[in-house]
Amino acid sequence: MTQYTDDALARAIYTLADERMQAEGKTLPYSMGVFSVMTAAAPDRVSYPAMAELRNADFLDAAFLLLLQRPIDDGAKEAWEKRLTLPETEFRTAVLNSILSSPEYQRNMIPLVGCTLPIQTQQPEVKVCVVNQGMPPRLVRIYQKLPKWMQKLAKKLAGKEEG
Amino acid sequence: MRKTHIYIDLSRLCMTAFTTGIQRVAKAIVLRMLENPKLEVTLLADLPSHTGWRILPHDAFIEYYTNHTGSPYGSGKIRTLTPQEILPDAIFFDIDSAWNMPMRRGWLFPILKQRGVTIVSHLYDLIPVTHPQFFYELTVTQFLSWTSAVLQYADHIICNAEATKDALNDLCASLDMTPPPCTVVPLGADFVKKAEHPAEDTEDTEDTAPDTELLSKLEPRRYLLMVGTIEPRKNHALLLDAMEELSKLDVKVVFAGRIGWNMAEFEQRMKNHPKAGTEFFFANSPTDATISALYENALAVAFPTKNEGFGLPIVEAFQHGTPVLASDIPVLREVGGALADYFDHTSVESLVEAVRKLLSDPEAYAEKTRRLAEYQPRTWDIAAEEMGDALCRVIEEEKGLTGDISLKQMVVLTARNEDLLRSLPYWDAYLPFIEELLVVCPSRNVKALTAAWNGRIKLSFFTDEELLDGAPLPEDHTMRNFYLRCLLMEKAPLADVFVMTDDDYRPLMPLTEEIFVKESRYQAYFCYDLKEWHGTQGDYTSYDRSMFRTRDWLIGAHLPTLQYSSHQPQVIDRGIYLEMLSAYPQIRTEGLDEWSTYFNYAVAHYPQKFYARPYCAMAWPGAMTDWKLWCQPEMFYFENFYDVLYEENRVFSGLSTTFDAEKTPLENMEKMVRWTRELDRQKTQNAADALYASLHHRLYRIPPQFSLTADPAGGTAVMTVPQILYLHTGGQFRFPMNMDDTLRRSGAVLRCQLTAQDGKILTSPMELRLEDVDAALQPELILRLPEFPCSGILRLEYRADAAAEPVSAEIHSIVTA
Repeated sequence: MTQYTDDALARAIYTLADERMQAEGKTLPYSMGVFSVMTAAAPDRVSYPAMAELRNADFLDAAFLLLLQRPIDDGAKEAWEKRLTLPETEFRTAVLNSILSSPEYQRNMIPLVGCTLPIQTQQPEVKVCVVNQGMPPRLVRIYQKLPKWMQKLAKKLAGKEEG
Repeated sequence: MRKTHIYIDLSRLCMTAFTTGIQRVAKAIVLRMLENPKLEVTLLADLPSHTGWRILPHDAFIEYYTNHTGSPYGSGKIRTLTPQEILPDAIFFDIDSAWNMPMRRGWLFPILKQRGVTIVSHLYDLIPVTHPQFFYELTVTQFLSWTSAVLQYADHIICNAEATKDALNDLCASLDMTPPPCTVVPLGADFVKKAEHPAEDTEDTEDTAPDTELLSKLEPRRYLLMVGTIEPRKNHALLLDAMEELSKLDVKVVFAGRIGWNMAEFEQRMKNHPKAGTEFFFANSPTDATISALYENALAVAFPTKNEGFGLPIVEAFQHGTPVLASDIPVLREVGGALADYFDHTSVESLVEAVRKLLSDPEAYAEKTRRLAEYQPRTWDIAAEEMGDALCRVIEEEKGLTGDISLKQMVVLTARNEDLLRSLPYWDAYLPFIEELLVVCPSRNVKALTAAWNGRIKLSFFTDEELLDGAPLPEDHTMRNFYLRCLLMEKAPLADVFVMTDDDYRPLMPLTEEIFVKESRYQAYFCYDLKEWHGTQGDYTSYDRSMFRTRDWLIGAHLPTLQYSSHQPQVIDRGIYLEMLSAYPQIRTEGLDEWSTYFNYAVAHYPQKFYARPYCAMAWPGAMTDWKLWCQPEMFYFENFYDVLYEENRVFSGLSTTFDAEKTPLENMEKMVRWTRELDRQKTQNAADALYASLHHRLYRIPPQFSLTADPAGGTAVMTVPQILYLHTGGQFRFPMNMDDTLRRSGAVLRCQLTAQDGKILTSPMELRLEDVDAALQPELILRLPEFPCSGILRLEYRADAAAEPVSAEIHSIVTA
């Protein structure tokens, strides 16, 4: 009987499934390297060294899957694939800068640890939209139900012409 | 009767609006398990960090899933749980679709196994492994990941069908693995008919009225019905391929369900089908009432699926008294039995022939429907009861210790009589169950020891000379320790179970045997995870090197990696120790840590005999600055005695180092208070560090980290450092340097120093030679910090060799009290 390490077992199962896919004329969606990185990933951090050995194309897949927790979308894939031939450091730094600076990353903010790349993220522009400043939503709803003349009176009392 | 404690992670169920498929099963089983008096169930749903769970209140969960009110999470204070807090004598049971959960089992299961928790997984099917082409890309990847974790770590698997068990055995055979023990518990199927109880098991739709327009176009018993999501695996295409032939038999076709993944082309085919709207109909997301009406009037329910986990639609059809034509695959034969008819799902002719057969003999058809009217589905009550029994059996079969464990002997290896004689009174007073102390020492020590001791505990001796019998002793301290213990196990007059100690591990209060054996389990005390062990900077001690060797050996042997060198007495089962030595004879002379080797082997092989728990010794490490604690002691029952801690200005200054029946109890209380303060200081620092890291991450999008990478532009290296550093007075700051292996060359040095803005030196420089660092670890610089609050510049420098130009970075640093 074979004794597997965690990674070796994951890779063996991947190979079995991949053979079945190939028998159907297809391939598994992610390379074995990406699959291996994903399988070993902790839920609360993304380890850069684990991804460092991947090819640029796989690195792209893994970065999206782990940092944004979703597969790469077609638009991003198309855009990044044009830059796949860049030197590794440059390509990866650009990918990571882009992901870490995105508003989408803000949602989960999974820390990227052990990164040896010179990441200099840019803060996303924060757009603040102030609606009904100072007026609670419940009051707004009451105001909107008032007849026109009472609305005018309310505005006058509030000392404002608009808002 | 002792209940079996079960933890169930229902993260997917709780976040799924519709309780369909696996979530439906999980809900049905769990609701019944909560009523099972043999089980103590803790329900869990993961926290946003995905590193722990919130505990679901039972009443809120029951209320939500029976009466559809409130929230499964309940209201009020949130109680949380981490994987490290799961009790080792419990079962972690995965019945929900865990492969979809962000808390990956490849991460979770090793943590649970290290503690000796029993893992049981429910296996619905292995189709994403055997037929990955039928699934969404992320699902396949996640399922393959999950499967590997289950095969590696599950102690037991519950399958819903014999066919699933066979698939599991086939997979293990392909992988040349022994399959985990497996119990088959078929699912229940007594779902209430939806039209009668729309609130139960429905995908809550506001419109519960049947689709009369569709129903008016269908003549009763003249159409085939296919219920379920339209996806490649379900093989809807076969029915469309058979339309021409079915038309000749005057049989229409109805699909009821939703469009699933990767079916855009097939959707077009349905829309453009020449018989669409006349002989072929698609009820998209039908109401429950429509489905129920369709079931009751169908000639038969067709189930041409290529592969299936269980096939609940068959049972649902039976409940409506409708005959079933199903694919001739093992799992459907298992579920449908003699009540269903089967056909070859790859052949249109086979399907048409089965339909023709149904139509050709009205009497046989009537007899079939009469038998179906009496059909009694297997109930969820029975399924849940059997599943509960299976879980209890898993715990019972892996029985804990049997018979009375007599713990009368303690064993110590020592060369220092004075140390032993100072500790003996503590053992004598506080370990009343110990009757004999077997001292392993040089023969020259025996006489003096015998003369100096006249306490309750009887001393017996086994000399180093008897032990070694002329064999040479290894030079290295840790190699010697392990080697001697191996000889001891084989040669010395040891009890089957005994307490092993060092001569400076002192109990702090009267203790009972329960410290070592409790509820039929040996208590195994760990203090660290060896994978996280960094040791002393650069210049590792022989202890550190032993830890690294042990880590590598444990990983190689596929054993857990907890560090049991907790510097307190521990119980040893001689039989298990000898078994380990016989399994791994080479380890005697490899200089491993004897505690970690034994306990990790024992916990992995006898999880039900051991209870791995955090240690309960104070003064390990001797100073809080030695290393960052990986786990905090649960309580202080022992002291790892260090003379130096009793010196002036040290933590135990002013307290006595020898036993005094009157003074010692009070002084030990004082020690506990002082050591707790030490621990609290580290806790506060850890909390402040975590807050700083989180703020840095929020502000700069990366956690504070130091990295050194080869310069693509041709320079030596590029150094990246945090924007700002937050430090604490008095302690030490350790920062791991993430660096390219190419830069870890011989002669390369990392250096750091803290200075004030005006250049005044605040700390002496620290230097680390990279060739001295264990290859498996990232280099870690340690900066001893000033005792006073200040701010300054931390200068960090890397030199590839003595002659090279340094690569440096400066960080604004704040040192607070």
